[in-house]
Amino acid sequence: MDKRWIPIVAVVLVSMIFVGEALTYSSGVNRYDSSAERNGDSVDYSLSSNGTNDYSALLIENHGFKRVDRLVIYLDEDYNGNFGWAESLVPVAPIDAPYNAEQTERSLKLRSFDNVTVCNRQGLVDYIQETGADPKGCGILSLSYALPGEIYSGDAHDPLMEWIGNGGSLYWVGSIPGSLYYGEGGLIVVENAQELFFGCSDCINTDEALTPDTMEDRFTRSMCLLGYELYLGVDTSKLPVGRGFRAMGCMKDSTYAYALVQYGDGMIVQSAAVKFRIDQFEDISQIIASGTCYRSDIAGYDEGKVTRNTVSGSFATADGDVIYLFIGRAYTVYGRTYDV
Amino acid sequence: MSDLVDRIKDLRHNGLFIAITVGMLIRLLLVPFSLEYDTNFWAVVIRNIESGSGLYLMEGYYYTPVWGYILSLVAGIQNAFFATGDSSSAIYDLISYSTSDLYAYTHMASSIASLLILKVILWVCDLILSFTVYQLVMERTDDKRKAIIAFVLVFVCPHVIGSSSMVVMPDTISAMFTMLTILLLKHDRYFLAGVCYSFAVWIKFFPIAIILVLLCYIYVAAKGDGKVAAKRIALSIIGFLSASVITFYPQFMEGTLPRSLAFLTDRLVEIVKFGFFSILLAVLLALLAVAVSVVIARHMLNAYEGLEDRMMEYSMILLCICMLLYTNMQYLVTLIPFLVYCMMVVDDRYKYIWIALAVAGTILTLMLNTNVVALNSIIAYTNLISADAVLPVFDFINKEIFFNFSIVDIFCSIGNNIQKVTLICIIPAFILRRMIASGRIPGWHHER
Repeated sequence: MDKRWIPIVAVVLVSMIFVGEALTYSSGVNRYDSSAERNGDSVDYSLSSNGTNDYSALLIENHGFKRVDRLVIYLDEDYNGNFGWAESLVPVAPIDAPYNAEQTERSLKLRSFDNVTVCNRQGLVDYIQETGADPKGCGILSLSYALPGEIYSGDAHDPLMEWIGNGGSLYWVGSIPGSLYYGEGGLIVVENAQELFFGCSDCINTDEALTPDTMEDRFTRSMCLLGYELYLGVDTSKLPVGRGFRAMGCMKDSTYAYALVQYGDGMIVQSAAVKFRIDQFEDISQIIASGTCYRSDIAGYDEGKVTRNTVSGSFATADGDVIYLFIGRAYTVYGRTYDV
Repeated sequence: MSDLVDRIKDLRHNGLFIAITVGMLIRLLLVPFSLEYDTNFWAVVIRNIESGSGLYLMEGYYYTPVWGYILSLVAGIQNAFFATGDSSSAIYDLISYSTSDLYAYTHMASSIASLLILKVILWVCDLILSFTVYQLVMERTDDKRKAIIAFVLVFVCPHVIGSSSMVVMPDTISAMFTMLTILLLKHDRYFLAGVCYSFAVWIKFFPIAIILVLLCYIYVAAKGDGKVAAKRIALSIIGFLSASVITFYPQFMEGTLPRSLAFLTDRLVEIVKFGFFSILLAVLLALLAVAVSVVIARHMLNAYEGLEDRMMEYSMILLCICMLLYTNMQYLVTLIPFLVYCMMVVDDRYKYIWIALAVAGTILTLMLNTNVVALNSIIAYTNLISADAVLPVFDFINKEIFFNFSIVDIFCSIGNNIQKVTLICIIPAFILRRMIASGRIPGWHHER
């Protein structure tokens, strides 16, 4: 048998791997774009890709709630050092906080949400002071179990609570919001944190064994949410009557993976998590980037395939709606939100 | 025209053609099935690449870069020539899979079209792998029948089919580059051999076990001429290093080199996590591999006769020792070509090992990797089966029926134990064979 095929095949195979390497790290290989324009009572949108992808177009009615367009990710510099202490005081899920902050930031950026900064305790205090006058459109993603004492001490009149009440959005992962803060001598427990944040005393699920059985919600399917944990999720049936909320993600009875709960003019978004994983930061990014709030309703939804071309469509719309266009459904490669 | 018809008719009697046809038909039947646990991660990797994040900046890829580059190539082909859409989607009705804490269950489903494109790449590698064994046997024996049988035993081996068509893992690529390395060394292409060996090692680390054997081979093949041997070894090392540098250059530049080697550290952490006996076993196997390597090196350096056979047989033994620690079904793909060569050239009694491994491979392919989760793509992308129909089967096969064991556990345990015992048997079988061959056991003699 001819032996010449051996080096030829070897060279071809080696070359193919290097072509793969070039495709992986060359910029501009995959290009995506989108647009959305108000046209009277409708909004026209378009999406393009130079590859082959699935896409979704989601028209969200926010009923006047200003979507978050500036986000601060709060990283507690003493997270690891105090974790054991925190765990002995309140239910806490371990998070590799710096890594998850980095991943969430990247995940948001590919959804064209670029206004993200990471801060420590002092940075969070400064942010609350800086944006306190008008916190509408501002968000905080907390990856810690404890808040700085300068802005929160378990009182409804604390700067943080007023910040939320005036329109700020607090996204919380890995523990019960507000259950700990840094006071003199270290961590201090706030016994009535659930009452303060959600208006009920035991709406957060602390049973690790509770598993979801469905993901029926329309938001879940439209936004392709993937997380499947319920530990530290919110039992929405226990929220007080009159408190606005939008729950999504996997669920068991009335306990949801993600709950967006009204607080004054702002909202608290509680994410369930046993261990913060790819599913969670993808979901959180999807929720933040899409501009979803506790008042949101889906006013229109399209999906399809875009293959080396541009697809377009339109929705009937009203003032204050947002349209979220994203490519790559389960694993988003591109997204952008437009105010219409 | 009649000439063409005659040639097509002749194909019916061409063993190689029949083997390829049968092997490809089996693989085609398996297209919509896969171990979603891994293929779902490949979809994440492709997403990360397509979003411009490379391999390691975003969560989802835990291997060294080579397989990622191949996935990137697959995505490139998909984007340039096909209209497949996304690689993966969620089946919300199967969320109980993901919450079950059972290994390899997920409610995600890979699209059948993207599975096909990915599998075709792996099938091509299966084919090349089988041809390398064909070539080695042919060159050594000049017996076409034997070479064809060797081809068949690799191409339709359940481990090879299971790895490329069900688990959809790159072990077959690592095995292919390992065998290409050996062929290239045989044909005095030392630089290219080093390049191929680097890919073999960086895809799956097992081929590193045979490095001493390969070096000894180069030295002895130079017929004791130290200068020639040193030049050849230097060329191979330059090939290995240059390919490695090019492979890891992007990670070095973006500061993700530690993440690109996480697979190694993760495995070590896993061993430590399993406790004292796991660490002890790992240490003992590592020491055994080093000790056997040294003994083997001495044997190789002292013998010019049957050098190629020794290289193949010793490599098989060393790979076997390494695989005793982790006996995942697909890992054995690197071992199979060596086993088949030894069976066809060195001693045909190795066929019992192949048969036992084939039984284990079939059980594991069917049970461990591909029970009902293998149906996810069919559920998500066709109307043939519904999630409701599969859920009772999932409950049934995972229900504890014997102490704490489910049907899946029992079959996996049977498959795993057959595989492990067979691997263990290779070592005494090899020792016994050597003793019989050298006449150290009176009254025993084996003629091929």
